[in-house]
Amino acid sequence: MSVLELNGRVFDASTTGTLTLTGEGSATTNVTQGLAKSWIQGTAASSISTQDSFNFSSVTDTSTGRITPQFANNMGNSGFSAPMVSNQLHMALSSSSTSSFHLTAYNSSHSEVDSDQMCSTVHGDLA
Amino acid sequence: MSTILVDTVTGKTTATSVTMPTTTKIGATAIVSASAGSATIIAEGGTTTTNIQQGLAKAWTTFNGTGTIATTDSHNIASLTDTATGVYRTNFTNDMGNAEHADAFAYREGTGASGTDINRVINYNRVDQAAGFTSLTTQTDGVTPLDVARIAVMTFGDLA
Repeated sequence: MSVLELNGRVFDASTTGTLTLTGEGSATTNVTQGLAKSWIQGTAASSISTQDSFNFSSVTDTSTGRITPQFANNMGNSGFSAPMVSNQLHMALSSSSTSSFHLTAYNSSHSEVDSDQMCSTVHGDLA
Repeated sequence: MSTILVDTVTGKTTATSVTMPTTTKIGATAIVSASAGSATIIAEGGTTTTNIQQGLAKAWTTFNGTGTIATTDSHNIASLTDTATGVYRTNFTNDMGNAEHADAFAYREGTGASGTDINRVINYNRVDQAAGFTSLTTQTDGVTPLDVARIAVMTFGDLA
């Protein structure tokens, strides 16, 4: 059996690694694809630390303004989606691989600068 | 392994409630609920599991940020607060477990390439974070606070 119906809501697991569910209307949505695979709030000011996180094993203070979180369970490819924010002027995803990615904060002069509040969520396929 | 061949299961004590074992498979996909508030599911690669509760956005909203601010759509957002020019709070219906939730923001440009809301910046309001809300700021790239037309917020983390 690959389909479970709970009070009219249909869970379909016909394909390994894919679970679809009836959405708010009549369409189905992919539960697995819709889950954030990791998220983090960290600081890279005087010292680097993680306030809270999911699916990261460690965070490296790579350089001024740049931190590199390492996934506990790697992504399936490096093309994942990683929106990010901080309390500096803007942020950029400066590189990514299946095991880690760089979050870089910039000031109003567009120079790399440490931020005491950096945050990102990651969406994509786990390996 | 024995097989129960039925189309419909009805609870004995409560007709609409049936307790399943810790590991429940839908086809080959195992959903493991090893502890309260923590269920895992096999991910895209077919081997690694991921945590369903941790992966869910606990709140999201899109709202108009100029004039009288108003939500256009949302999940787990009780209200919005227009704290000051370019400063907003999204107040949760069900609070987060701590103030260190992970958020993502975006803004929408106003009226085109020569119009308003070009080259704006949207950031955390670091001095105003709590388990009950997310606070964010919008400003020009010259760092002057400014309301923008449309704002989107997503919040991930632990619910209380």
